[in-house]
Amino acid sequence: MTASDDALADAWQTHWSRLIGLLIGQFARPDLAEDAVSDAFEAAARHWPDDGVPTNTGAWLLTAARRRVLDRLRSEAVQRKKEPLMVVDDEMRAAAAAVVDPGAHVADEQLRLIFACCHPAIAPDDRVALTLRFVVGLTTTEIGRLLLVQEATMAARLTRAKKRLASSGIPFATPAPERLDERLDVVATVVYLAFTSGYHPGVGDVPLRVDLGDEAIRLLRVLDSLLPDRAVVRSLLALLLLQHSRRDTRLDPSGALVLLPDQDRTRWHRDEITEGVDLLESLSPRTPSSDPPPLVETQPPAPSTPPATPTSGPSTPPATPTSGPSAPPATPASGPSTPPATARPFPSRPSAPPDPRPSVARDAPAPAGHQSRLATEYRLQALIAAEHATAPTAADTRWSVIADLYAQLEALTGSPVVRLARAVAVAEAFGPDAGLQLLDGLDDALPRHHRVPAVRAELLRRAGNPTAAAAAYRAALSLVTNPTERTHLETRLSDLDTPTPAPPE
Amino acid sequence: MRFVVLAFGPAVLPAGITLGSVDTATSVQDRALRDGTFDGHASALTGLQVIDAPDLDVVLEQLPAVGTFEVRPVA
Repeated sequence: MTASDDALADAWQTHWSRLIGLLIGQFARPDLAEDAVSDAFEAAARHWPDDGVPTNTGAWLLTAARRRVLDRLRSEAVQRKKEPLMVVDDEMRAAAAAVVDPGAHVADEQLRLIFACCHPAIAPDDRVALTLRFVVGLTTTEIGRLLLVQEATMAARLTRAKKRLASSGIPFATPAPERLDERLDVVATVVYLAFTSGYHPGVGDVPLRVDLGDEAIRLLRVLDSLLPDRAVVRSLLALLLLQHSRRDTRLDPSGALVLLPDQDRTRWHRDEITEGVDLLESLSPRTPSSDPPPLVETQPPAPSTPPATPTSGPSTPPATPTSGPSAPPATPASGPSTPPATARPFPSRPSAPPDPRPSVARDAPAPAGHQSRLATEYRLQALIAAEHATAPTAADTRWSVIADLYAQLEALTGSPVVRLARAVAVAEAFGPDAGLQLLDGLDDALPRHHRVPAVRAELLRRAGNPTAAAAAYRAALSLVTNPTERTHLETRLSDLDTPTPAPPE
Repeated sequence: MRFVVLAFGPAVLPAGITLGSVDTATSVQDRALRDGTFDGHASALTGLQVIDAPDLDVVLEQLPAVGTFEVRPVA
């Protein structure tokens, strides 16, 4: 990597969405803005190695990108011959004169961009895809992988969505204050997906994009100051802080994933865990100190608002996404390290001992006041993450509390993936047989999902049934695609002390 | 008597209004928005209005709370 390569990569991460946001803010043409920013980066890749890296890369890129937009607008205007050339040029010069400092109003621009991308007139799936493209700067391939859509399909959808944004009259503005809440659930979903994309193995060359997690958390903080005391924002912020607190321990020096029980807890970010837990307590209706509960409903709910919610209401956001098994709510508590939780040595502690830790978890009824389904879902996930984050050691994890939270989450979402996670927690808390019972019927709900037989295999092994466990491991191996997990399953299978019922070889 | 002529498909009216492509359409049913065109029969068409507005939201605010509509910009 040369210095200019580094500078380019750094500029991409720092400036992509801010440049898009600035250009859309100025020209209201998302299609042109994106092409122009791409072109600007291309120009940078050509010029910086020879001419040297400019001192202010953001300003350099903004100038280049703005020039591109102006060129395109000018040629469009000329093509249409709607206006004499002189007028166009004057307008262009005026627009170009409105120089914007790329460092200014970043938060505002980015949030505005997200709210615009989440306009209810845009199809729900497209809102997510557009935000991941514009705000997060993921490539079409990466978005396709994240949302489990073929690349060609995703490319076509993005093209159409951008065209639609540019031509259907959808405004690029933060909605009026009384209408912000309508889009809040969708915005939260999108921010969560952006966060998840940073941890999704296989997105990009880098296994972890910590900056995406930082960015998602920063956006939530801005959102929280813009719309204070919204349960969905606070719950999600708590969830992301708790998940993000483990970022430094998720990979070993060779870049392999480190499972939750094996992570070095001394390197978890304690301040973020504390903040996450505090946020959860502020949301809980039972904390002793919270006399005035979150005052979500103090503002007069505009009479027109409730009926209007269906436009973007709980049914629309890809909360229970759009996407399949690997979508974020599915593997909520511990992100990428959830599945292997099955692989950890079984701490035999049938019931949790009395525990002095603050019980944010006990049971999690929705706090009083407005609380969307999504907010409750995030809150339950955050409570699960908090249990993991506050356990002094893996063996101290209060699995019965976690199992109960998963039960609530399953009742809320009806998701078979949540049931799978619940089965793991129940097995940890009450023994493998209890977990195995919960797996019944999951093969039909999650066909082709290797983790169902993988979990079953692990539990059967622990239950002292190696023959059935071996069969389940083989079933899992016939479905698994990820090489790391394949290796893991093969090791587990060969470790089994079985009579080896006629293996294929 | 005043008549309204509606053009369908590739037909273009001389000096008429040409609608934006189907990709620019937003359907509204009882205030709920959907990306795309009205998905019923063209024969269900019962009215027509031309509105000048700065953006889609302004148009949507002017629509009655109940009913099915399709909004498209003029090409």
